[in-house]
Amino acid sequence: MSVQTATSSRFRLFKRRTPRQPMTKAARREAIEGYLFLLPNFLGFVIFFAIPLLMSLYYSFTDYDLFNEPNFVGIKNYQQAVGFSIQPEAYQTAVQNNKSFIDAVGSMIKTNDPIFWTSLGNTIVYALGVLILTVPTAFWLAWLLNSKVRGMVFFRGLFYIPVVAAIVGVALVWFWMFQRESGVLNVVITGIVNLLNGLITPLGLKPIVDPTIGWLTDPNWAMSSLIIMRSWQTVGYNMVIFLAALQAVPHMLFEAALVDGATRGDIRAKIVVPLLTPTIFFVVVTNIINGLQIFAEPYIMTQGGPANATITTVYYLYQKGFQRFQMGYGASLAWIVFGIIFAVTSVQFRLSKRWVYEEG
Amino acid sequence: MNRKTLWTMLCLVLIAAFVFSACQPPAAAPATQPPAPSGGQPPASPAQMVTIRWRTRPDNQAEQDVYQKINDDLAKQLEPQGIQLVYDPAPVTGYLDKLTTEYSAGNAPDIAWIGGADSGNFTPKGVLLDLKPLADADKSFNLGDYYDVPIKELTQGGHLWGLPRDISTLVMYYNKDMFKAKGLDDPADLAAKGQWTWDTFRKAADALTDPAKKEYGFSISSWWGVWGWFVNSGGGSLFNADRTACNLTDPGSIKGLQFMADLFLKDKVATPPGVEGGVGETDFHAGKVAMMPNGRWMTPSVRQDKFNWGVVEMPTSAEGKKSTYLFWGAYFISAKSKNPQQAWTVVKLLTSADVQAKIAALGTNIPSNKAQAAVDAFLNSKPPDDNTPFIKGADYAVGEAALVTGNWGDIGAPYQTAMDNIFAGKQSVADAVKQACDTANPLFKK
Repeated sequence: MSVQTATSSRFRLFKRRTPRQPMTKAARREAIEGYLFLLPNFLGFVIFFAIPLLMSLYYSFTDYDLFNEPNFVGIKNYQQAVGFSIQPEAYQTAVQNNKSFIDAVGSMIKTNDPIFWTSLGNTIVYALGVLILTVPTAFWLAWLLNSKVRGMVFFRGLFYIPVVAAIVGVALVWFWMFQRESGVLNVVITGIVNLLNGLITPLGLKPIVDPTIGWLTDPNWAMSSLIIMRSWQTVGYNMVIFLAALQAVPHMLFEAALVDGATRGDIRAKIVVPLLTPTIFFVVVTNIINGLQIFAEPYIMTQGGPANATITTVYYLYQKGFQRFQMGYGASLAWIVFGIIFAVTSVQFRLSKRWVYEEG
Repeated sequence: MNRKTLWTMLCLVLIAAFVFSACQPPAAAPATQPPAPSGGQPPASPAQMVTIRWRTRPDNQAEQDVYQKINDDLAKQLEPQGIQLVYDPAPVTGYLDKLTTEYSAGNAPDIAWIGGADSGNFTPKGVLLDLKPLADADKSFNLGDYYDVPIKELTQGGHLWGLPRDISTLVMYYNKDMFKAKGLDDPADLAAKGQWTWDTFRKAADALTDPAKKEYGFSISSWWGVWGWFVNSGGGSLFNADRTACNLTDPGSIKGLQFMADLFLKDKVATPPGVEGGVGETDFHAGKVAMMPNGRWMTPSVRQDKFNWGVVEMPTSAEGKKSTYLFWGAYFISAKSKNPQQAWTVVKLLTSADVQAKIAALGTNIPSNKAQAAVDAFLNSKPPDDNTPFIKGADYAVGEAALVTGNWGDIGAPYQTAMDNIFAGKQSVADAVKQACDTANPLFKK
């Protein structure tokens, strides 16, 4: 083997590194200054984020109750959270009780912690609900506000105000708005129903029954109420992001499309939306991540009720850890939530290659 | 000095500031300052003074002011004994979360108030001091000065975990004007004649309900203290005798809950219960609901209402069973208190008849001390004109359980879920309580 062959890249076991040039005094001083600039932030990161993160991972394998020394219990907490058993006899019982096939199959599965699965289901419903309500609305608002019409700056600010409002204040205001008897929403609905009844009853039609919705007290409505509230608060933020992306779309594309006879709908669907797919992807990913971490709304407004209709995974782990003194179990739930968010985000990134347009 | 050097030094200063601020000892500054030394006896020397920090959970500024005044008065009394008393109130929201964190960190106040049901979660954890040795060694102390119900809960397992600060029975608040407008008998008059029963209560609620005006005969907040009364009144109970199992499936429990469910779903004389936390009170304060069961703590807010109102004992069941709940809270001393003996002195003072009489005058709660002076101070705290229903209930009340055979948060959750499903009409009473007990029973320590 010749020296040339031996040193060719195909036969090299280790990448040859270019000899490091010794640092000049000025370069060394500059590097030190750079590290010193980074140091406060890095220390803060280590003390307030990294160390607590590693401690929570440790506690997730213990029976820590906040007051006494933690004892190692292995993966028991994780088994308690996600474990389940299959009970065929429950299926037989369900069939004998004339339950549907799905209910019967469901009754076979006995989870170790049914509340965890309920909270996970609620969290997913919430995240998807906010996403569906917020993203198209934000895009539509951004489209409307992306025009050089007088007063648009005012409206942009108006839609953004809820974003900067404190969640506690927002929750308390909506709490009163959602009141069944005296809340603004039901008062308006009652007014509309009375108005309509005033019009239709003289015609001999059956009057409309006032629904008097228990926004926070009816298990069928409670989660929807939280979704509405959160969507109201976050639509402005997403609108601003879409607005910035819309303003970056080159106008010459619009002009060229118009010259070619494209309608406004064609321009929106075939030019704007494809160009905005990176922004849409960003908005979708961040909204899902935020949605899966919902805590403040159920904590302030419903405490997870009624009938666990609004209990979410983060609120549940907070309950377990801080209110029921099962910090080890709460920590394991936190890591499970992290795993779920990580998996969902990874899948989204993989799928993005199929639909997100990237220049170059 | 060039710019780079200046920036480098600035970074070093910033880092030093972070490090030194993080290394400071925990702030021991009290929330309120102790009063200046009074005349009379010379104060103990600074070397002999110990600081006792104590905490309550005031619902409003008026209540906090009362406790601050009590602190100031007691501080003068305790100063010659070498005790510097500091009142450290905490807000209602997150009260227990804050206290839990402080117990975990070891810097909790020496004395803290904890509600009865919640105290059972703390007592087995070793964060609260067993006061029995201190009480046994104190010849001036008499446990019999307090009502039996909270003492029974506080002395489980042969310990003495705390001293009760106050009690409150569940009574029925009612809007006298609404009753008068409908020409109905006053519930207090019916109770005096022994005619205030489930039946007369239900009929009154029906007569007072007018959906067109959005007026209802009855309303509750959906928490265990209220639906628990229905359970007890029907002849059942939340737990079995030794509190190792759920007892909601008992026929008496089901009977009581069915009566409750019928009020909401069949008779429709009640607004659907509000979310736990007092929302159900809103309609009562608005004069839209004629009757509402609650504890004494609602009295200060009802005193602001613009209608005539009163209180009456809870209605008697069809079998003639009188029932109510006795809620209580107590002062507990931290197991890590550096001065347990002095803390004991303070706790005794805080629960003395004299101090409890001052708090009773506010109208918030009923003294836990049975001394006549304390009782008289409460009875004279008006309105309502007649406070005796609160006191009478103490004779037959079921006590708020300090559950040590399980975590009340974990066990109470399926109970509350069952009630939510019953109120929403999603499950029958029998199915709901069965599901609750199936979920809760494995959570009890046998």
